Amino acid sequence: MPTAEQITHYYEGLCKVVDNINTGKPDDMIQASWDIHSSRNIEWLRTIVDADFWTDEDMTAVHLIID
Amino acid sequence: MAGDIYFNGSALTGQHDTYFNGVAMDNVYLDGTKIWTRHPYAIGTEIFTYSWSAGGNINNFISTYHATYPLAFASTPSYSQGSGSPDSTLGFTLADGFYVSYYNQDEYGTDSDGVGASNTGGTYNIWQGNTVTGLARTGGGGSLSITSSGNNGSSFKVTYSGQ
Repeated sequence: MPTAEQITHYYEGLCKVVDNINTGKPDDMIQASWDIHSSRNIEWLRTIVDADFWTDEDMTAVHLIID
Repeated sequence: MAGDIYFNGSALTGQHDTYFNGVAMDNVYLDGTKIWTRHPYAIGTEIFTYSWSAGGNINNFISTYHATYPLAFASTPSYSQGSGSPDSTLGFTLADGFYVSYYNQDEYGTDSDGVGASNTGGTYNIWQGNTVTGLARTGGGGSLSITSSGNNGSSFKVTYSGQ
């Protein structure tokens, strides 16, 4: 199992993924790349949200994307 | 399978620790059935680290890493070019006993506890676009703890667990 410090790190990454998806395609990314990039990140959110190491992290923003 | 012979309650985990008449065995059979195969590497051996960059070349993974460390793979990796250059993906399946023990994505940081759910086998997918890269665990259960696509480069390490 990851340490508390690692869980914090993973949660920060998760929140950053959510923010980036909600912000939308950056200007320097071609549309084809964005389509794959965003779908991979959403698919990752679908699996990581059920990881057994989370404790009381707020997943509301994740569920707004994946549900 | 490796480690299936026990001596005084402990699995034999060395590469060559089963001997017959002083000769190290590669395989041990009982009544015609293979019950043990020597470990190809010492347990904990870091087999390779692969790094790639956005807009780079990931097809070299097959010609270099798969060609150099074939025992680490259950099958030949498959490369696919996407619709937008340089979008491309490469899928691979690790053999039993090998696992991704480290994954770093430049934007999102490091998954340093390894594997999500397993330390043996699993199917993965390497990806690169014009500005992003990443690694996803796509089969075998569990998930990497760092996302599968972010800015700039990525790297991962494959280690032998012997399991």
